[in-house]
Amino acid sequence: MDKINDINIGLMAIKNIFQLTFRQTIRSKRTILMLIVSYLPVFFTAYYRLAEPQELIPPNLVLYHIMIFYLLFVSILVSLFYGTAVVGDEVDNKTIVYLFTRPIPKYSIIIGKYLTYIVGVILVVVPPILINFLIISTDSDMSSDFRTTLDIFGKQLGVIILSLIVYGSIFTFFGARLRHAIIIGLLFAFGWEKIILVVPGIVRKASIVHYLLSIFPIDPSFHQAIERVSKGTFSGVSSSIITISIVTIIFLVITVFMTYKREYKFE
Amino acid sequence: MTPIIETQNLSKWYGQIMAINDMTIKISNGVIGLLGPNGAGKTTFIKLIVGLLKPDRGIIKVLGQKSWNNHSINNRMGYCSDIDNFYENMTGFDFVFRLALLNNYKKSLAEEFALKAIETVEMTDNKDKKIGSYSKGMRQRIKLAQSIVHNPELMIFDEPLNGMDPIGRQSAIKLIKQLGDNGKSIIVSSHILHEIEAMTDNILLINNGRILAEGNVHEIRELIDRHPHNVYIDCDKARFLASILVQYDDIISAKINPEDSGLIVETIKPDELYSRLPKIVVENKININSLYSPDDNLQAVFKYLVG
Repeated sequence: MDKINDINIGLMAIKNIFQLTFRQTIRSKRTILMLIVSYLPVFFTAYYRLAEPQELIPPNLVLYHIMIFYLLFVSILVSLFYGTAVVGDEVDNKTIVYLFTRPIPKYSIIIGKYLTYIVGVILVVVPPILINFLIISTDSDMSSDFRTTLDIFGKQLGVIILSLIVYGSIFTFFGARLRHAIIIGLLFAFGWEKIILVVPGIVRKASIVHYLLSIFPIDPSFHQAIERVSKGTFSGVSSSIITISIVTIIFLVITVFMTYKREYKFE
Repeated sequence: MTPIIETQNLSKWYGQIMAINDMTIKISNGVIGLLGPNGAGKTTFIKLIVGLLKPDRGIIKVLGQKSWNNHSINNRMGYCSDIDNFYENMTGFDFVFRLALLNNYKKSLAEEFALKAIETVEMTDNKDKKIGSYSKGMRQRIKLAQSIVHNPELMIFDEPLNGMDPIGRQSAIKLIKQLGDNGKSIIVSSHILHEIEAMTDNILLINNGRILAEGNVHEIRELIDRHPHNVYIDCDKARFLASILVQYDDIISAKINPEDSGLIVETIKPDELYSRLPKIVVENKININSLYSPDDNLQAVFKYLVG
């Protein structure tokens, strides 16, 4: 009975933490910066439609590259800046004291704030992606039919959301554990995760980006060309999804575990 | 009777520095003043009580339970920290209400309790303003409100009067006394004896992480009165206020601080200065931004006490 009561308290606390911190997260200064980063490709796409260089670069390829840009750059950058702030901001601002002195389990604080992060980053990243898609997909020169394009786009969007989830979990841990979380996060995201892309063989499996690219769908019209370049270097879809899920859970669990162990001195 | 706080050989280190040194003590119900100079170990002791820090050695029990990683005890305990940090974009009401929700109340109850707590700290008129726009005193009061919103049986206030103007101080002291009269157990820390004295007769004297003395405040008061007190007043008419204050016999000197135009008043009767000040500022329309007493005088007493 006590266990059920504890779980209920935990769930209610997650909801209340979400409501307490959501507006704070969205209304922070970093949101303006992240919105600029997220909407930048929209300007490029709009220019592409107006300039009409469709004969040189087919719209499907443009859409593919825009989605890759969101996957490999925008989502990682947004995850880094929001993810490290999930716990990091509360610690830096010392407001975590108000949360730790309430009758709620510490795990509910981490999970509630992580959910805030997920909803927040989706609101920042997904709308500009949809706008990009609308601008490109209404181009009459699209080589695939709309249903196929929509199907691929939906899956690509799913992978981008998955990247926000997994990188968010890693950067939440960085923010909770490390003093210079942003710098270390930048080194990880744009150092390790990018270098690994050009390294052949099994080492690639030690990166998140490898599994994300493994499940990132490709338009059939240039499937062959891409497959020729990257043949044999991707993992299977199900094993990639399982790996990404495990990594997400592991980093969340160690963040929670660490929060129970760590003292916050605020000296 | 079970003590509200019980420690046994409690110690806490920060690297090489011993913040709490082998402390064994039992604290009973009532209002207890935790008195000691800056760096004495007051805040560390309080953080050990509220479970923000883990003892390095020994035991601390609060309301019969351990406090480290024991969230359930926070339903019976309220904590007003010494830090001046908030969710600046929130209104005062939202801040107290949202934190009340974390005490597992339903929305309607949390709202009712938040309004009541805000009324208790006399912030009703300012409850819908953003905390970022609050004065130091208002921030202290809203911080007090969040610590009493769930009507806990034990309240821990770390330097609650810091930065409050004289009128705010008076009402905060009145509030703490009232809470004590209503049967709440309160631990309130300060480095200013007369503040503690205005709230309670029971004090714990702490220095270098050790409890030096506990019990009645009067003996300590006699010792402290032998030393002149410095009171720092940050206000908009420092020269004018100085000219009024120097007319009283108990004021030794009143100097303008060249760095920030604040007023440093030296007095042999700080109580009289504190009780006189509200009337002077109201009559002469002087705005006081902050008021505090550096703890040099208390340090002198501690030196005397520890030989």
